[in-house]
Amino acid sequence: MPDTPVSAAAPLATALAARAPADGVDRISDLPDEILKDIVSRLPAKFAVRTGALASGWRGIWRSVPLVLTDSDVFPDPISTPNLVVDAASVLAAHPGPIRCFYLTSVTWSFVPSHEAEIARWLRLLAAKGIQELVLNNRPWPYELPLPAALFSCTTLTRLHVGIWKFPDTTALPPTAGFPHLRELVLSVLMQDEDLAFMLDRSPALEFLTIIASQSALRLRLVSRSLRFLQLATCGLSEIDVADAPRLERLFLLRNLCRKDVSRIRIRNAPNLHMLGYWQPDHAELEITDNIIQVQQISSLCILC
Amino acid sequence: MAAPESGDGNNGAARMVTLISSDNTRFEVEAAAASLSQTLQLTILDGGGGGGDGIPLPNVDSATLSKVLEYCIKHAPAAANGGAPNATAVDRAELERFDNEFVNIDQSVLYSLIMAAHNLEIEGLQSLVAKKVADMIKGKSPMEIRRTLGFPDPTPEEQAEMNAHMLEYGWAYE
Repeated sequence: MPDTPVSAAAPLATALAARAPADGVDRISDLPDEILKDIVSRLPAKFAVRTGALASGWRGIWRSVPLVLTDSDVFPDPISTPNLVVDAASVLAAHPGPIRCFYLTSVTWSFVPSHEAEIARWLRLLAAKGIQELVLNNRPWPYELPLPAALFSCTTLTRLHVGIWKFPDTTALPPTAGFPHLRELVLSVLMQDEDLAFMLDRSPALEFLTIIASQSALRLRLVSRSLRFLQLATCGLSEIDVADAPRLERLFLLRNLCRKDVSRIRIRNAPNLHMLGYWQPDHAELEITDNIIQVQQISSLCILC
Repeated sequence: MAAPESGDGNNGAARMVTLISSDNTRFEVEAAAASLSQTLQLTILDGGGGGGDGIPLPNVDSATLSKVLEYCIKHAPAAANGGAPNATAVDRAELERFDNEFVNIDQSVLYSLIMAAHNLEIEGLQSLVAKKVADMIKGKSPMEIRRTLGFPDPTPEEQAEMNAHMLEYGWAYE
């Protein structure tokens, strides 16, 4: 989980600050709107919205700053108040955007009424608001809940983490679908090898890819002109073929489970690879095609077992 | 960026500049510290503020300027290292401790600082004081926020508007 750019913690709210000004003068409302916006943009969305109730000069401020939405704003208690998700979506529809970040990590979406339609509505709403960072986990369960293909309407994303979903079927998507600005992708979903290949192909700016607990016997053929870091954790690995990854620097395999006796790691074109982590000789064959990897690279390639 | 500590003088002393507050108090400070202000940096790069000239700051009184310079002097070494990527955890913790203590101040001083940071374009200070006010707002109801920030008691109209807002944006009050 990445840190959110704003948090509910208030380390600077010290005793002096908690006290009303001694002379009872409201100076803050005299500050230029630009400064009020800077202040409101540092608040979790819930408190940003509340500033709209303070006084007339504050009414429109929260609508003019990028919002940062986290679990505590939208869904403080996933079991008793699932309708809040619905209410919050209605309110945010009124915000002109952008909504910079949406981090929702502890919603059990299957409790939300008409959840598929509701998730799709959220995704379309976030797409319309120019969402940049999206973390959407369906915790803790169930794995086979379908993630709507509306995800692909969020083309402004730079960071995407999706967990505990069935990934949309990418074969049904239009040829233009993709994430032109995506730099960081974390997947912990049920998905087909073709869907993963599709994501790599349609994310031309992707630099960081992490795949966690993929349940299938993953076969990954890596072709990416942009990827620098690849991490596969607790995956059912079958084969990794680093076919063409000119910028790849690090490849890490963590606690991977092999469905067959031995999985295979093949490194073909990866001239910048300098760290290959946690290769287990008993569990994986390693093949390095030496006509592409240069002699000096082999000597500097650090293989951690 | 700010000049290195050795300055540009032949004797190895840091280059100094003079700033003049709205109430005509003169502050002599290292150019590197004053250059945390984007506004002042340009003047200083042009060679201003040295000798007997001084740079007048008609929008900043001496009490506020003294506080601003306290911040700049503390942060100048880290800023000179380009945001201090090599700073140790101890250095960073020390700056954080300083910052927390620095904004533990009366609100009248805080708002003068906000305006000064804004006018002088001191990025780190702008961010610090905005964070401070945001932290004063977090976790509170609109009525508590109003009291904390020194708003007068709401008029009946304002009270009615606050109630209507709570009804309209129910989820933000859960």
